[in-house]
Amino acid sequence: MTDSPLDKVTMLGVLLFGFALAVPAFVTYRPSRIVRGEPLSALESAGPAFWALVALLLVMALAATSRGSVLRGMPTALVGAVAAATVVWVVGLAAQGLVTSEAPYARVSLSAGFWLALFGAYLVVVGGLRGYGGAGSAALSVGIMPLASVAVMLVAGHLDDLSIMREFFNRRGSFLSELSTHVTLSFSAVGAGTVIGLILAFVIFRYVATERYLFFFVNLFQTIPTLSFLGLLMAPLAFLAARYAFLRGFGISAIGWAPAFIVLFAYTLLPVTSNALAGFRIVEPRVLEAARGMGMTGNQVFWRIQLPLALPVIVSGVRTALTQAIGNTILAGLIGGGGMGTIIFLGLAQAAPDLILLGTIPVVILALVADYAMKGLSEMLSRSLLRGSQ
Amino acid sequence: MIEVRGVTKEYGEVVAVRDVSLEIGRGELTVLIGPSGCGKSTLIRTINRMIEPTEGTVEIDGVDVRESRVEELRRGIGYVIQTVGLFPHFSVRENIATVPRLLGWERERTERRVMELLDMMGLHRSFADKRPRELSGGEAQRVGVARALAADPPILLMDEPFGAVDPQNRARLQEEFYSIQKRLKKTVVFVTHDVEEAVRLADRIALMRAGRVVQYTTPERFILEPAEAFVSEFLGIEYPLRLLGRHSVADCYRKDAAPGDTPGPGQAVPMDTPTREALSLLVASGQKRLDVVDSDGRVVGTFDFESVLGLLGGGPGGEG
Repeated sequence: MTDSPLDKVTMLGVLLFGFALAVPAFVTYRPSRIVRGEPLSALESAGPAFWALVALLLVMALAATSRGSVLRGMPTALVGAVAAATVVWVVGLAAQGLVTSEAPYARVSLSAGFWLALFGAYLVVVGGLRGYGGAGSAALSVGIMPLASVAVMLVAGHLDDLSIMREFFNRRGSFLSELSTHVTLSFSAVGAGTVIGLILAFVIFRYVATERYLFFFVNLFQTIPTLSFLGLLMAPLAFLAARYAFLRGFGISAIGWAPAFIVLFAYTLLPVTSNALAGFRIVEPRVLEAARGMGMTGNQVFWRIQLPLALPVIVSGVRTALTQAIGNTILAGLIGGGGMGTIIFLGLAQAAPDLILLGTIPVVILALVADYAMKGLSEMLSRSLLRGSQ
Repeated sequence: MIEVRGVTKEYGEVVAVRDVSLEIGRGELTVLIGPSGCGKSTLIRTINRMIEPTEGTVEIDGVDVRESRVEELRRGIGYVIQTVGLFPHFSVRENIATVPRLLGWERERTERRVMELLDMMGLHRSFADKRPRELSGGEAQRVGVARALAADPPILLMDEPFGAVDPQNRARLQEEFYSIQKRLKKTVVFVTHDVEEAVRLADRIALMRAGRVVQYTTPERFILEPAEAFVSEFLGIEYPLRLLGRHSVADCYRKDAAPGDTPGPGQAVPMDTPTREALSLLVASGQKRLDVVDSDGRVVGTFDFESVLGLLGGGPGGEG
């Protein structure tokens, strides 16, 4: 908790939120998908609902400037969360108002003002939680509240008139299959990379002489830019697929899932290997001395002492790898490997920003959820490993 | 019995232990003492093969330690190190049960043993579920000793086991360990650099310097026949006084009282008074002798300077 009368983060959020309500481009309106759009401000597009946003702005401003008031901390975060949900609700209303029976092909896209307002509200939540003093389940529920509200709006069809939802309905089938490809590809590559990374870490730990050579490769993979890596794999994979029929049988070729899988797998190695190795090495020498002195074999020392003690660090390495892989899997779309990249690159080709967004938002959410879950797992592990049972 | 024969350990140019031979008797507590870097920690580690000597052999009951598998050997030897090295992710119960589990004991037997050891160490049974992080330094050391004793090994190696504990707790731990050792009669090899600790616990002391054993004998003999000037220098000027702490008046008073004597006007000392304290009382009283009384307050003899001299010389009441 700060003693200054203003919480800077909250204040910045409030300013952004206020600015967002004033900018001319809250949403973009286009009479049809292909024509140029015209920007509409929040007041122009949302009508009376605009004043709900203004009211929230005032409450947040009050919270941000009032020193030591009851509004500081958790209540501020709650108001921010409500504001975030309301922004989405208002934009849904705006779309409903603009897409009428006279203009059924009209498109309403999310524009700068909308994103700014959302970001401002997010900052207010963050600032409020800082004042509240930490994370915990209360903080988590404040974070989940806007997401849950949006989910309800989605299910209720409140947002159906937004252009991005139109894009979704046009490709509902492929959206779901690309999403599942995306998840499968990134998780399986990270899974395989984790297994191999752990083995590498173990080998390096046991045979220190191998460190230079193994880390050379692991680092090398990391330094090749993702796109170049995909390009480099084309020739060898094409050769192998042409030479060995069984590889073709697995669906391995110069394009498709195989090169994407290999790249994602290779990128997983560095964070997992280096974290696991660090984890093995942080185990105190005296603990190892005691373990060996008690008569544990090398394997017993590893499985009973080193691995469990290193687990939280390993999980945090997997967390890095997974978050990174979920983003990188987009590139699989470039080489016919599927995933959300397919939708994004289609959007780029068609100059359809809503389609790009439709591909991007799930990736961002997926990455955030994976990151949060792995972080929780890592913290839970270190707590249960080291703290008392009480 | 542990027999160290001509053990040398070289690290490149550096010689940590130089041609050391020692016989450590069964049920005896032998202290390896010396300034830091004298090779005592290296030497103790050759017994459970945490360090393999460059030359020489270590035998336990006539069998070369290299003849058994190293893990088997270590499971039969209790091991306590200065920093304890409790496994931070194990509960106290699991820590103590380490060797029994390695030996494949049944759950019930292990559990019984864990409770037995907690009792023996004076730790409440509820400690079994605690994690090392929740223990104080002294408690952690007790758990460390319990862990070493878990499978009831005949031999115990202790490398500065109480070194990281504050002086008050250390004295308590030494006391407790001394009485446990009196009961269990383990063959103990104990490394320390603290003369006070050595005097308190040792049956025999091996004083080391620069990789060699300078002198290996009972604590009393160090006064009578120091092997070289370094011995008296290292043990310090107060060594004889410290030595008195090993004994009580009962070990050295002169039994010259006639039955039915009552204490004179001067001060009387009970028989179980440590000799060091009795000496202090004697000096304070300004007299030449004090009456010694038993637990019923009857005079049983006298305590004077000669009693003390007799003790140091392995005289009348000495255990020698």
